[in-house]
This record gives sequence, structure tokens and C-alpha cells, in this order.
Amino acid sequence: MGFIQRKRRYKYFLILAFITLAFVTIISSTMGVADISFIDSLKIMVSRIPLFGALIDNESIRQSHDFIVINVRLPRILLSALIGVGLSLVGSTFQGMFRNPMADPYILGISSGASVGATIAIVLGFGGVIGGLSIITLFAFLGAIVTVVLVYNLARVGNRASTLGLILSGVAVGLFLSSMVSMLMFFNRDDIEKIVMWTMGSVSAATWNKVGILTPVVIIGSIIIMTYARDLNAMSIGDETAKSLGIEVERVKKILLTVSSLIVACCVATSGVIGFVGLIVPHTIRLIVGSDQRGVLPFSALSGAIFMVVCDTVARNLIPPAEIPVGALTSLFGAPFFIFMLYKNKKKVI
Amino acid sequence: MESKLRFPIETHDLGWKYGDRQILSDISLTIKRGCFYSIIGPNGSGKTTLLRNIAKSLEPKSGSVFVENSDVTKLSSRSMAKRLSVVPQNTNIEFEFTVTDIVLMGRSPYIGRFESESSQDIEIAESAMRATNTWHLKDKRITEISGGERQRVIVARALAQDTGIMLLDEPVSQLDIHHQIEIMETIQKLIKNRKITAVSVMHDLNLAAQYSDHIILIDEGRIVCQGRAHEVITEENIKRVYKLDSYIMDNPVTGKPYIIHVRKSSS
Repeated sequence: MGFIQRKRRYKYFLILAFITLAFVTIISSTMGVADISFIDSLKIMVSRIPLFGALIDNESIRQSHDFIVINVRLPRILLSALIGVGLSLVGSTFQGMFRNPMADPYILGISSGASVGATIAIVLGFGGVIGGLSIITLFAFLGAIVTVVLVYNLARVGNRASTLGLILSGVAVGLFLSSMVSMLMFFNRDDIEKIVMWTMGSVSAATWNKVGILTPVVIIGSIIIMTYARDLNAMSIGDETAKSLGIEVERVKKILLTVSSLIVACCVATSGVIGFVGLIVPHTIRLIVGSDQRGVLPFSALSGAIFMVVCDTVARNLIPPAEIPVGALTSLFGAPFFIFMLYKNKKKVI
Repeated sequence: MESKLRFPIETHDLGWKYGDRQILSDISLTIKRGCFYSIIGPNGSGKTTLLRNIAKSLEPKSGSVFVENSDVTKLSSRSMAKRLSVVPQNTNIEFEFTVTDIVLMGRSPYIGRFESESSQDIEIAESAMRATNTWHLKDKRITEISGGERQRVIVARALAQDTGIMLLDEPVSQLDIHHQIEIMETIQKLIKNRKITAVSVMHDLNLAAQYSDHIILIDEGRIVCQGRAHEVITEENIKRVYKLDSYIMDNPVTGKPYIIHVRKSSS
């Protein structure tokens, strides 16, 4: 079946995915050390929505519960969801653009760049906060952006950068920066734990400030990427074919690289390196809906969000009060599921 | 209107270099509408480079290429894609698009950024698939059909682009003889029915002789000879360009020249 025939069915599935995400969000907000009921949690959230707020009677809800849901759990859930959306979308974009199934959001060395930035800030003891964001976050963001610019310019010949050139220079720069992090850790042993915890990736330091910054970046970025879905389809067949189909390949590549890098840089800066989501969510979705990016992108975005929220809920509830870094959990849960999907698909062929 | 032009492709003293290596020199061509042109020549002679210059995948380094009266360097990818479609040499596709998806991609130049395919686009894709005998494959995944079928799907995509010109880069060189003939006959039929102009790089000289209205023989980046099959496919030219002794007879059925390669030329 072609995309057009599938389109109507997609609409229902998308609505379903949205409802699932909302449901998962509310469930997650009830879970934790403080026991808050589903209804209370729902009331607390709805009461904050303008217009609807007046309809809700939350006299009976304890002040502390309101505080926990709004200031502790909700920013964390939203941050997980945003990161899930961003990483899955960029993963799908890069896999298509680079025509490489192993491509993930970090293929251009962004994660290593951010790690170096964060490590430098940690080692130098910059613990301050600027504009509501920690200096570590800002350094990580800077590290990520500098890395992408460096990688692009290394791969650039004249006015264009080849796909292979980008991947190779991304891998080379990434490895170089990773060993820089190792060296910094070696010479600053006291900070090792902090650095390792940062690179493992976690949303435990979520704040409304972080959510406020990530929301516009991820949402606007996602919309831009999705308007290029058809171009991405053609580009996943080959740059030259895409060009012969009337796509300004070099221009599209630059736009998508810029938008994607910004999304990933913001994700990594706010929550460290969370692996797996950006690699496997798009693959899993492709096994279900096929390769058309007009289906893959929106479904990856929503599934990535659901997946991240679920993982983080588990991460903070598995062995309370300890919190497992969600970056360590994503693969633990995701890999078996993906293997199951691959196996199911294999059986279909046989 | 534009496709009614008598000469949809013209090149003037076209030259192209890879670094310091001159790949094409002084290529001047006038391609007539509604004809099948073959570009032949040994490996490395510049056939594909010439095709890619016409398609604007490569920018001419000297001289110029005109497609439907416009200098290609001044045309956007989109307006180029409305004039000229390309069937590339390597048609391996890794992603699992359906055949319909692939053919619909041919409509890309006509669909705006915020639009999706209209019912008219779908009709055009269907007629392209019917013309190339790929309609029965429409729901199959591109990764699960045979090489010959895939090649026909790519021709269908080019057809869906609805252009006056189709460029083909060795469209049949990886196919068995049955599928070679099938593709060549499909293209011949399209030229006849839709009055399109086709320019194809060909490896098989006998196929080129069989199907072309006009053959362009190039060697070391220059046009050695061009014209009708009988004027180009001669023992003398084969010896000069391919360094082969050959015997050429007329195909008893079609009357076109048919080469029997004899041996590597001793001189």
C-alpha cells in the first residue's frame, strides 16, 4: 500500500499515540515516593491550564502534592518527552539523509563535543547558574555547537559536504573528543563520578527553565524537519536521484543539519548523552509503518516521547530513593524489544 | 509548448575536468526531438560524464549546455526536473519503499512543500506504471522485486516526471537479455507514443545499433563520429576506438548493423 492510502489510517493511529502519551504522562506523575492518585494528579495538571483551571475544584488536594506534581514530576516528564521527540526525529532524519542505518543523532560527534564542554565546566568547578541554566549545561551546549561546525567544515569541499565525508569526520572528531574527556577524567580523579554520571544521561535535574528552552527548539525544529519529509524520502534513495527529482539537495542538507544539530545540542546539554532512543525508535517504527518519512517522522517523535517517559518513570521508581540514570536504562529496555521486532519481522518473511 | 522544440538539448564546446584531468573536450551536440540517441564508447571515455553534464549533476567547466533553450546553470533543480528525467545506472534502493511510493516520487517537482500528492498525481503515476508493465507490482516493496522489475519501476518514475527528455545511464547493462530487450522496447514505445526524446549511455553496441535513431561515439572525451547506426558502427571505427578487429554484418531481420567481435586488434 502506498502512503496515500495509508494516510487515513495514520491519522487515527496518531491520535491514539497522542492519547497514550497523555495517559503515560498522568500515570507517571502519580508514581513516586509520595502517593498521589490518578484523579488528583489529573486535577492538579488541568487546574494549571488557563480557562479549564476554574472548572476544577482542588480544595481537597494537599498543597504538597500540588507542589510535587507541578514542580518536581511534571518538568521531568515533559523534559523526557521532549528529549524522546528530539532524538527520535533527528535519528530518523540522519538515517535517511546519510542513507545509513547505523546513523544516530550523535553521529556527527555532538555527544562527545557536549561531554567535553560539560567536563571542562565540571573540572574547573563552575557550579554557578546563568539565566536559570547551570554553567555545565551552557558549556555542554557550546561544546556541541563548536563540534558540529568543526565537523561540517572538515567535511566541506567548496560549498558542499558529502554524506560520507560528514560521517567520517564526525566519527574522527567524536573519538578525539572522547579521549579528551578520558584525559580530563584521568587528571581530575575527584570529578570522575560527576563526569560519568553526566555522560550517562539523566533528566533528574529537570527544571521548568530547561523545559521552557527545549520546548520551542524541539517543536519548531520538528515542524521544520517534517516539512522536508518528502525531500528526505528522495534523498534516502541517493543525492543525485533527489537532485534529478528537483530537490535542492545541498540546501536541504544544510537546513536539516542545522536544525537537527540544534535540537540534539539542546537535548544533550540539558540531560547528558541518552543513547539508543535516536537509533532504534526510528528503526522500530520503520518496521511497522514502512520507510516513508511522512509516516516515520511523526510516529518516531511520539513513540520516542512515550518510550522516554516510561523509561524515566522506571528509572526513578525501580529502587527508591536511588535513581538510575535513564541513559543506562533506555538500551536495557529498548534492545530486547527491538530484537523481538526484528525476530517477528524475520518470521513474516519466512 | 516548450516540449514542441525541435532541438530540446544542445551543447556548445562543452568541456569538463576532474582536477587537472580533462574528461570532456569540445562536445557540441544538437539533439533532435522524439529520437533515441545512444552514447557509446569505451570505459573511461566520458560517456557518463557527458550525460551528467546534460543532467546538471555536474556543472560544465567550459562551454554550455542548453535544455529546452535554457542554459542549465541558470535553471533551478525543480525547473530542470520538469524538463528532464534521469534513469541512473545504479538503482539499488536500501529503504523499503513500495513501488507506488517510488513512482510517485517522480511527481516531486510538481508538488509544493506543504502539499501532498493529488489524485491527478496518482493517476499520472498509474499510467506510468501501466506503460512500463509495473502496475501489478504497485504494492510490492522495492527491495523484494527483481533487478529487471526494479529497472522498469525506475523508468516508470522517470515517466511520471512527465518530462520531454529522458536521460538513461546504461539502463540495461545489469540485466539478462530478456529484460534488456523488454526495457529497450518499453523505451522505444514511449518515444513513439509520447514523443519524448531519450539519450542513453549504452555498453552493448548491438543493442545501441538496434534501437537508436542516432549514435554518438566518443573516445577520450571527444566525439569521434556520430550519425545513423550504419555510419557509426563500422569496422574501422570499432578498431580505432575499441582496438578490436570485428566483422560487421546486417541483421537479417532488422537490417541494422550487427557486430561480431573477432579478436583483439594486433596493431
